[in-house]
Amino acid sequence: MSAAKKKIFYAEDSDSLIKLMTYKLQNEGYEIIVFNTGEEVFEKAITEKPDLIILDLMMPIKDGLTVLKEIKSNPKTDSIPVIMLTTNAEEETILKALEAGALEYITKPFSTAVLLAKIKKIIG
Amino acid sequence: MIYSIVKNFFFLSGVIIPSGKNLLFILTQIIIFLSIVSLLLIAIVLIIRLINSYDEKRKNNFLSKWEKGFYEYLGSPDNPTKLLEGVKRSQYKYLLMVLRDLFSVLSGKDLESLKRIVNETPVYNFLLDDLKSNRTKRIIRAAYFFGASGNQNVKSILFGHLYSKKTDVFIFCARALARINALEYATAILHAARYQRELSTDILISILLEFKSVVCNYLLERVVFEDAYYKRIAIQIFHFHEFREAADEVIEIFKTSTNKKLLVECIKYAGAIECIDAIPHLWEHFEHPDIEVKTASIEALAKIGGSELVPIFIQRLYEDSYEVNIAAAEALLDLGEKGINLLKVVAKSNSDSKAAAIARMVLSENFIEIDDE
Repeated sequence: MSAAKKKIFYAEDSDSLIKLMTYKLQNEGYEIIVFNTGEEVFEKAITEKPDLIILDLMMPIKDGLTVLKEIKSNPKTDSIPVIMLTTNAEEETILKALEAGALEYITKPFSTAVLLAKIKKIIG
Repeated sequence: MIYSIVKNFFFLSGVIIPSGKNLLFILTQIIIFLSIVSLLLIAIVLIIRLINSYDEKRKNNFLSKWEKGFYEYLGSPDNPTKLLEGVKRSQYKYLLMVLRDLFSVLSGKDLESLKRIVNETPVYNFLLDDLKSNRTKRIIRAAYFFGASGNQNVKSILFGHLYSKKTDVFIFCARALARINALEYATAILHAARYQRELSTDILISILLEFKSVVCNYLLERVVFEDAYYKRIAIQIFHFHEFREAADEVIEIFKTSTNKKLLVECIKYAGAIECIDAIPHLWEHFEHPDIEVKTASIEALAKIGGSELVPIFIQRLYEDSYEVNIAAAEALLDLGEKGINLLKVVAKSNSDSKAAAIARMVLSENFIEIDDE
């Protein structure tokens, strides 16, 4: 019997990037659930219990940092590792995200190979 | 009765109102005309929507077939020409949309793969035709891709567009030259920028900052011979890159120029690189009649000077100009403990004075308690 696929939530508002990352992650054997806004990520995380969440910082309706704080302040979701993937490279923002509990902070432009390697390191 | 009154009124005013039957006829004609116009408009909107949805369908069909191979190719050493086999020129616009989205977010091998699609496949000739065309949209698109992919072959064509009457064309072509790091065109960009009335200084600087820092050497070679506009922009670029080699030239400009905007940039640059040789000239501008020059001098001296400047900055706290007061308070803060302690004394001294209010404001903005002893 094959092991269950690791589940990744990916919240991002760029369609082209969503398609590319979905392809790359599925190719690596992960199950990927995509969100175009930050609104539903937290609620779904409670019920779906993903193995990893990749969050863009700047998203419509609810930004990535707010979602990260929600995830890390709830005992049902606080153990889920979160990677921030964003264009914002300001030191202050990076520190805020890391203090809020993000495991990794990756700035765009980024290499998909490096991101995949980090994902593998975190969830196998 | 009313009709005849209105008719007589308009008749007297010089406007002829038709009688009952004629009026009805004219109204009917107007309604028919408006109905036809409305129907035509509806038809045009429908046709546009139909074309758009057809185009969207074509795009989705194409991408659904093409994208898988593209994702496999990204980051691999594969030949990008294979990726374009069977793709019609009319479909290039769809793949360029995807490339455009990804150029700004990918790096490393992924980015190299994107560049190779632009530089090593028939997409190159497609974009070259765009760049040589006289249509703004096509030129802008081509300039973006050639800039993003660092294509060195198109520099002269991009240069040719720098004198375009359209600001967008200038911006995209200048930015492409900067991204390619075509240093030999840096001065040309600055010259051509003068003819772009809608171009802001901020955008011009953002373009020049796309060059690598070595651009400073090229700008420095010309700075003595050029006018105040060139000098001002060049000094801002030196400032950003903290290019110390320009210090002598900038001090020379500082000594001789009367242009206020240029003086301010010289002073800011001197402060940023902590240029000790500029101190005597900064002192001279301490009493400059222009507030912006005076404020910049205070800020620069705070960065270069030591605690001996404290009494002078304290004095500036009591000047009439609010901008000078703020600059002096911030300068005291920059000088460290001695400056901060004196700022606290001023803050507590006379609660009604403007100097005390400014001292309190600057301290609290920097989270410094006034009564901490």
